[in-house]
Amino acid sequence: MNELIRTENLTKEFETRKGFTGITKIKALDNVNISLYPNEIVGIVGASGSGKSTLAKILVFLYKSTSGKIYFKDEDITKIHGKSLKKYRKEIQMVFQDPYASLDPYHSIEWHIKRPLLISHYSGNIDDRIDELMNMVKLTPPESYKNKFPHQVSGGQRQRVYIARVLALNPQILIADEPVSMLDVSLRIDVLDLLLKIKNELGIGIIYITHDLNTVSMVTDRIYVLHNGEVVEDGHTNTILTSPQDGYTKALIEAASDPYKRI
Amino acid sequence: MDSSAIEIKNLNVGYNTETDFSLIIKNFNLSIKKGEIFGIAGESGSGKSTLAQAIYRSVKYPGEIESGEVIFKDKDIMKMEANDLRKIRATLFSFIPQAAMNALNPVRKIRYQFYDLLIAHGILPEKNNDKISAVLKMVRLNESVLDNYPHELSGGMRQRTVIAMSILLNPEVVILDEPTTGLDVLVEHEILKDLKNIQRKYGITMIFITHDLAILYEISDRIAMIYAGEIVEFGARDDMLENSTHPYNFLLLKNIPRIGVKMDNIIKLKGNPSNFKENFPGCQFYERCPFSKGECSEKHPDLREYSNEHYYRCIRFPEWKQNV
Amino acid sequence: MEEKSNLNEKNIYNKSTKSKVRTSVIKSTLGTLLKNNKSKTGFIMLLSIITFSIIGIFYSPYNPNAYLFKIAQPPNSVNLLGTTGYGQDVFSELLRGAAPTLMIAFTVGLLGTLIAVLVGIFAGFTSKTTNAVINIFINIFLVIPGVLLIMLFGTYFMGIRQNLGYLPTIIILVITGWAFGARTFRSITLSIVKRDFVLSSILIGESKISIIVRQIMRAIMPIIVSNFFFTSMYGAMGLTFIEYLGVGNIQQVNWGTMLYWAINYEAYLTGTWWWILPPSIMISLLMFSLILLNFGLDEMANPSLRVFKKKKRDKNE
Repeated sequence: MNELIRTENLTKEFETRKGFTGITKIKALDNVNISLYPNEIVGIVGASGSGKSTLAKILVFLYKSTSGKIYFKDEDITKIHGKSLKKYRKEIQMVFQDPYASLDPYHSIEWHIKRPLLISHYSGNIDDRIDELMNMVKLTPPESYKNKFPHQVSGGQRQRVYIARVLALNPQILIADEPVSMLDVSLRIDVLDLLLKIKNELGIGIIYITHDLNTVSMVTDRIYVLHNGEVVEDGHTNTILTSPQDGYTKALIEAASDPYKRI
Repeated sequence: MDSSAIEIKNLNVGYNTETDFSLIIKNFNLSIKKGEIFGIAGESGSGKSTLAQAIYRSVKYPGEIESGEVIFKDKDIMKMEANDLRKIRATLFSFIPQAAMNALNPVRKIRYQFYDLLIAHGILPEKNNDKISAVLKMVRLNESVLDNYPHELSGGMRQRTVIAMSILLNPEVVILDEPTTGLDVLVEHEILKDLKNIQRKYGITMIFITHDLAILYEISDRIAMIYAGEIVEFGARDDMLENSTHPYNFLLLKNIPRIGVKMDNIIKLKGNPSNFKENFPGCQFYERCPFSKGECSEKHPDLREYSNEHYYRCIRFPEWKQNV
Repeated sequence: MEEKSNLNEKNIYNKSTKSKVRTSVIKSTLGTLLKNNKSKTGFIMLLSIITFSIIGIFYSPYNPNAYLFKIAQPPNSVNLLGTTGYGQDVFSELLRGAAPTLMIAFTVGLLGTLIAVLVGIFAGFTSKTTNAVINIFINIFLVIPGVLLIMLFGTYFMGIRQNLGYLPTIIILVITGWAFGARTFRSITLSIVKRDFVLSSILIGESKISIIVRQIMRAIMPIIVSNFFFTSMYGAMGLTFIEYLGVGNIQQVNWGTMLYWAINYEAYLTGTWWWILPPSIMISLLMFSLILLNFGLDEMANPSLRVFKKKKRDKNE
């Protein structure tokens, strides 16, 4: 099967000004090659400053890459804009880290799911589709949630609302940027389970970005370990977690929290 | 009770709202031993931050301490004069509130923030530069940070600075509220190791409060699990880990994502952590508990002793363990 | 067939709940506004002043422009608030002059806020360069002293025509009064645009207009209303100022011209306090009511400012 998305030597430099004339360039991403197939979850693992969030923002075209290419289903989309960008954005959606910030506090839950359906000119019955989406993310029964506002539901439920919102567009790719790190322990498993369900039932490819190897080990098929903007190790999750090669990966595994360990 | 560093007796803390006064911490009793790391675990809304503030008597309006005692060095902190309280704060007893690393004064160099702390306690700062470098060494910071402004430091470095400040005046007790939340895994791990080293070396009593159960079990000697403002289980770390007596602790431990655990082997915990009913006669965990029976909703469970210093608040124990 | 009717029922149900939600939002906003003691006082004061002005449109004891009485009479049973230095009834002037004063204050508030919102939000939500250009434009209007503009435009309008009514005054005040609000809205929009919920809408494919109208305007509504009150205050004050400087139309009756004539007559030296005080107090009351409403809004937008009375818990529970 062909890749859904593939990057080729993707590089991103940020310029920071120092004084009036000095410009320092910081490489946030350095020749990154990753790929994602349908029906799989790929993990991008790295500590803060590794460039993992920059990568996510480039893939949804919130940032522009400095050099390198992005292929969507073998089609070069590095330089798209305007209408074709709009079309592409429907295919790739992003779940943000903080469900308290990603939902508009002034709009109801129903509104959040209805808007993408209206924008994409959904042809069927919109109310039925909203119910279907809410059932899929286990916000049941839908009637009891529709008229609520984001502050009236818990963090885990907000993240589900957000996932229903992006699924309304029928995307082929989902980028999840630390989707559970702001949630309570007892709610994390549920959201991770939902990601697995989305992958299995809808065949969506998911890029799961995190610094936490614990959650990565439970949902991903393959991982890329990112360090200072470079991919230092990649391969099957189990292989890397049981026999890491790179020193950085080893440090991350050692630092992963575990109640049965002792500091 | 010579061995206890802090004793909390019948503490009641609540919040004023538009319509009434709602209780967050209910009849809280706890005794923390000298020289231990005491972990307090709770999810959002459980009242763990309110508890931390109440122990330090720094609950701000609309929160209010209704009644109770916090005995520290044979004195009740709740009844102390403001001036006496100020004297023991930071010198004998210090508190690192949540997100303290973002509360450093942004327009003052770190050095002068250390000096301010010394001056506030009537100590001449110039003669204590050695002391400052000593605490910086403890948290493994370079002395050059003294000449930096807070925004020039990374999150981890700022958190280390805050920890250094809190131990500058040799306190006997330090309360840490979510000290590593928001930090990177690698930094978090390093800071936890340093905290443990400092604690062991100087025999400081640490009260460590967090929602992150995994790191709490990694670092604590004893742990209290709170749910809806009450202790539901409390005991030595190993006992809590191996012999859970309350379903909440048991299920949370099962729900922690870990390397090597498969999704299928998890018993999921349903419901919402902060969905408490006020004046509910029974067990607050009743609705989320997969082992609950009708009687759980009628009678409020008391704290019972399971074995040596291992307490639980569940009327279904030990029956529920057979249903796992 | 049955299924369809069911579906219709469901739709009706949805619609009715939705409109319920909407009216309840308005109700609860007004409710919180009235629950707050400061804004309640301000609201009642403003309502009384508006009632006063409405009465003034239809009725006044005497013709406020006619010189019917002895000059400079102190308050008595015929002239409730005495007479002016020219023999007009002060109370009639006060009553008749209320409506134009309020009209100008609120028109300036409305137009000034409208321009501020449009310019500010557009600047905050456009490219970096356009933003910078608009920012310079706003700053120019901010640094030019308002008095200078008022004098300049005022004399210009005086020069061209006499019969434009209050239009020149309103134009001058709007021109000098919009920039401050625009700057506020620009900086707020800049911060909101970076929030995740706006990024999310961009990714979902919402158009800019939709984001501005549905999300940004909604989020800054309390600030828009507060800005409206402030600009209205500026309008009321600016009116008196313009009239005081004599660059407005001094033939019209409003609280500003009342002051102009009083000061022209040197009422403060001749001791005719009943001429100066009534318009001054009315203007102050108007300002005060708007400020109180603003305080209330602040507490609505920022719940941490609210203070509750302590309620004791029943311990035997």
